[in-house]
Amino acid sequence: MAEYPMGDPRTAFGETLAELGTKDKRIIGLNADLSGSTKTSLLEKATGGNTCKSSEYPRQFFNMGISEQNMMGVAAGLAASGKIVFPSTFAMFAAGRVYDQIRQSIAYPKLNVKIVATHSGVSVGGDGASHQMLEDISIITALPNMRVLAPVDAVEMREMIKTIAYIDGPFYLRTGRTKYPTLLPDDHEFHLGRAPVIRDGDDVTIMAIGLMVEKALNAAEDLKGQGISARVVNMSSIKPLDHQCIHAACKETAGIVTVEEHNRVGGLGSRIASEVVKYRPVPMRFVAVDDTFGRSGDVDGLFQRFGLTDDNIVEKVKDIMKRRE
Amino acid sequence: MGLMKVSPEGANHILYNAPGPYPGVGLSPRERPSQTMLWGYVVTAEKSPDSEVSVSEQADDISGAVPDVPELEAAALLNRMNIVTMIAKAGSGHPGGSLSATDILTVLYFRELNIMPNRVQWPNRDRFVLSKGHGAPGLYTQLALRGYFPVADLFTLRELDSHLQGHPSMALTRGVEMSTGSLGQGLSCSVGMAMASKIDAAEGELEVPWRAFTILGDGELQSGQVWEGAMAASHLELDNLIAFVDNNGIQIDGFTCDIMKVEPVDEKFRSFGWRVMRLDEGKGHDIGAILEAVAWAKEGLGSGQPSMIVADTVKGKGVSFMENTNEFHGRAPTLPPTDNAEYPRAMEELKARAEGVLPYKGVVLTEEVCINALGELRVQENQLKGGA
Repeated sequence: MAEYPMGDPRTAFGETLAELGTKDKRIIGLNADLSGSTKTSLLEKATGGNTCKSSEYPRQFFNMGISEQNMMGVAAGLAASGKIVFPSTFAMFAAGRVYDQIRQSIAYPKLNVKIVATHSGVSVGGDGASHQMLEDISIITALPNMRVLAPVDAVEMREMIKTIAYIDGPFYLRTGRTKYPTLLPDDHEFHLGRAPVIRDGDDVTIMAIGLMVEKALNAAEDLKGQGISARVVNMSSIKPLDHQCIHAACKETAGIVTVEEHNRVGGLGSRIASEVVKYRPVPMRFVAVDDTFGRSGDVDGLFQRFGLTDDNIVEKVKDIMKRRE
Repeated sequence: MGLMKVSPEGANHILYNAPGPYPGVGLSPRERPSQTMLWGYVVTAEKSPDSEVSVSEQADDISGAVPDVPELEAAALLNRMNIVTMIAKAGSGHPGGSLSATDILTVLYFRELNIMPNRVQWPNRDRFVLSKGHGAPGLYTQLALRGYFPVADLFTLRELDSHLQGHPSMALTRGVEMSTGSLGQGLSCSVGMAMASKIDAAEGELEVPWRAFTILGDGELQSGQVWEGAMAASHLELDNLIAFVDNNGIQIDGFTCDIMKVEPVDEKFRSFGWRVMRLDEGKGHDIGAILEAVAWAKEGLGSGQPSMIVADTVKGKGVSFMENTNEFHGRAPTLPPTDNAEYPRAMEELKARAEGVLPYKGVVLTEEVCINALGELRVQENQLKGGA
């Protein structure tokens, strides 16, 4: 199996935000008592802020405390006043707890708020189900005007943050807790609505996000040994989806396997399926959490338990190939 | 030119079921659907030539003159007429909560807010967030009379292609600073705005931070996010934030004190670190008292504390049968030919009050002809001629 250098998307976020903030005074970072984990603390340091001096202005970082709903309303108010706002917290709070606030104050008025949700998926590990957000893609993609992204590694995180700061309107970006293998070259450019093909192939397409992309690559290597050529696509732009890429997969390959650290209900797989069925139905298989909550455990154990493995991807690909015969 | 008071006998009233767009009032390309229902106020058969108002007669330009209590009372009355009329026409809406906040909103929009209706994007403007978003009709009439959009737009409230949504939409309506409607959220948004202002002022971009204003309902205080916002406003020392509670004591299902007690409202905010003034015993509708309260709130700049004005108000204030009841929280007054129709009765009461109120210069207090109370006469000849 290929060994990839490890990177840290959360740190990449924090560092990029800090860099942007020092250059552009309109950039504001918000946090809800998780600034160490989400790395927005780096913005605070870079801009000379000090959370403990609550009334000192000007400042570009605010810790809003354990009040996520207020934080989102504040983000909306700041954005309406010309700021470019990055509120960040764990995914279950960043999507679940504040759903109505995102809907009413951010998505509906299309404000310049870029929500960065960390600690998504089962890879959160020991904290367990309450902290393993497996429904965020489903609920946020259903909001009009929201763009939904899932960077594959620290490089893509950095490029996404730099880009979305200057694309007008609201974004939701999800990443995990752990380090991520770096799969993209350092000079990678992010384009909204484009899914980079990171491994060519013409038998079956594997469309994956986040930590699952490495597993897809491992599976593809495994399949090569079995005479199956799998195309691997990084679907990091979940909304808008790269329709051209999906159409190409339907036309050129026998079927699509989607892989995500998310519930199969309403997740990446569902979204791709609805496009596939509309355009040119091909067989699809979904590697995802099977409509259950997570549980505490070690990351690899959890991936095994929930079927988020290279082997499962290989099996699903072979399943599609069998249908072909 | 002084006051033009038009008596009911001499008035030429427009029937809103007249087909076709009202010329020149900014309605094109919207086509006004012809309606089969007669709903206008008093219909006069004859058109009295004396009552005709020539389009060329403009009111004195009073821009620059600061409206005082009598002018504000007249404006508030006009706002009430508009609220009742637009909701009746729409067939749905929230009269009770719109009327209870009218005096406060009139003081803000006609005097205390530092705004420029012809420069909506002016960065140094004061911002107002209607946290109790269902009071949208009450906000829309203020915006229309101040010139943010044509007054006739008010009568398209809630129609399919109107920019006037049931709850304020900042993307659609000029002058709306934040989309609201889900209670409990507006205070947080106004906190964010106040923060932005402080940041810009400290950067040296403003001499004095502009202010963020917001108004909440008392039922809305049952919503937890309000208290998150209250905590944040105080912690961040947002002394450029001025909030009101339209404390009318009633929510959808009944009296607030029966459903989920929120009192003592003033003490709650005080304990959260706000400076608080209470307008009790009807002073929530006393323009003079409201003016004093806003002046007091503005003095808070520099104190390090946000200001809260708790106004004891009457839900449905201005229309006797709408007052002090939850019945008109979210129900439109009925129109003729319903028996004992409510809309005409409501307008009778409001018009009667017009008799005693010192009229605003150039304001013709008829309900169908909606006038920009700051001096521009928007009466159209064709409307008057084309009536009945």
